[in-house]
Amino acid sequence: MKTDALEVYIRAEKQIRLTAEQRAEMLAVIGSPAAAEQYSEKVYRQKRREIRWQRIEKWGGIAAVLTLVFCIGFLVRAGIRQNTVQITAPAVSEADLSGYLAHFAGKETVHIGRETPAYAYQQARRSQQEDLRQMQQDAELNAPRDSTYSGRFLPVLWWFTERCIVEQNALQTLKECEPLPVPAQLLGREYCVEDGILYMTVANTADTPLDWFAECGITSDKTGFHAEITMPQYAMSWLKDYYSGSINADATGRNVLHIPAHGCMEIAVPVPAEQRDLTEQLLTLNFYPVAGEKLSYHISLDSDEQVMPRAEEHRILRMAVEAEPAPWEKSGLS
Amino acid sequence: MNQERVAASFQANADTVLRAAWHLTGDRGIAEDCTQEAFLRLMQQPDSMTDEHILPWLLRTAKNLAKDYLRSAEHSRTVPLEEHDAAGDPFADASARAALRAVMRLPEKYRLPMQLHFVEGYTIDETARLLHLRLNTAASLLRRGRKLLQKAYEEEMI
Repeated sequence: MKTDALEVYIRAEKQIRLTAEQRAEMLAVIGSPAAAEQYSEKVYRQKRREIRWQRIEKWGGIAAVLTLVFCIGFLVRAGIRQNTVQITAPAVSEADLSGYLAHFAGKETVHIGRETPAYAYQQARRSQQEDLRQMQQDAELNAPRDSTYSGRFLPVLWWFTERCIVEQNALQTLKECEPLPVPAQLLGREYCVEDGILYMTVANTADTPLDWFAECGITSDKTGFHAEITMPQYAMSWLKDYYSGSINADATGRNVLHIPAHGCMEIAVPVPAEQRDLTEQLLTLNFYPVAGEKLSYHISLDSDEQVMPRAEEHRILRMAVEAEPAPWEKSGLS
Repeated sequence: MNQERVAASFQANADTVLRAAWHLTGDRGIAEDCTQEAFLRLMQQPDSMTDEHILPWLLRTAKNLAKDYLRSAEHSRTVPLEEHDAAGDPFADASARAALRAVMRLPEKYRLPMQLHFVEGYTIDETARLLHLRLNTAASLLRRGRKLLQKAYEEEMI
């Protein structure tokens, strides 16, 4: 008779089992304090890892959502910008500018300092920038949405290109304005101190260009300083037509101010803080013509950082203005 | 998992895990080591593990431990099954010894389903769930394994 292998196998397999002693021994190992301590520590470490991962997943998810929202917002914003209208019209007209100047020029006495035509022009320029910005925002809000536009893959590039066009248009607007009239004298000046920098405008009413070596210092104080005359950055960019002069270093390293015939320029002199804190300082601006006699201008500094001219110089300036009225005074806008 | 649950699980499943490990290693001592280590590792598991998941987890762990042992250098220093049987045979019956050798000749995929169904008494459905197999696959393995066992057993008896 054929033996059923399965029955034999089942019977044999059931003999494979732990004896009572083995069971007790294994249970003792499993139930020992050492095992419990060892594995409880493992469990603790594992749980700590799980909690850490849960935190990472949680905050990582939040960060991913925020990043996604930011990216979508940025793309939508860029998509709106690329549909905006170009602004080409000047924000400040010549008449507006003349009005500004007339406001200051029509006063009984010209307060030399902040309320000067040069300062007024700066204010007008800032106002123009704000107007441009406002017009840009209005245009963005009212711009039609062009759904057929295909350049959405480079919104950032388009955004920067657009900004450059707007800046270029603003520069072109300034170019179209008439140059500011300047007081008619050989070396007229308006000056003011802003943020520790003395700004002074010099004009050349002669028929020939002038070249000077320029330096400045405080002569009445023992701790006098010597400062380089530099061209302010905004004069190079925004007002380069108005200020037709230039500063170049000669072979010896000295700055040479070049002002063409009937031109003018603004110079900027950084005044050290320790000098500005002292009262009754006498700031001297020395101009050494390449050929000719030295010209010196003395300006007193008061404690509140305003530059106030001496009475004589003030009078000279007023007389010069009265001798040849500026165009804005002729226009009668004041 | 707390020690009380592990101890209870040990009382209920120790022999099953021991046999599963023995099927893979063919060595009683190694199978005992794998069994003990599997229950020690059970303590690392969270208390949230349900009772019905404990045995499948123990079988899988014992299987992995046995495979780790077979891959280890220690395995090469142990004596073969035949020599082991000759040295200290726990089965006095020759037919039983032949049946166990026949089982060890079967491919590995047949051994555990056959143990769980024929020896431990689990139904085909339970066996399939314990080993994460489809029902038809488990039934097919049991049917073919039984035929192969018969053939191998007869060859061992010759």
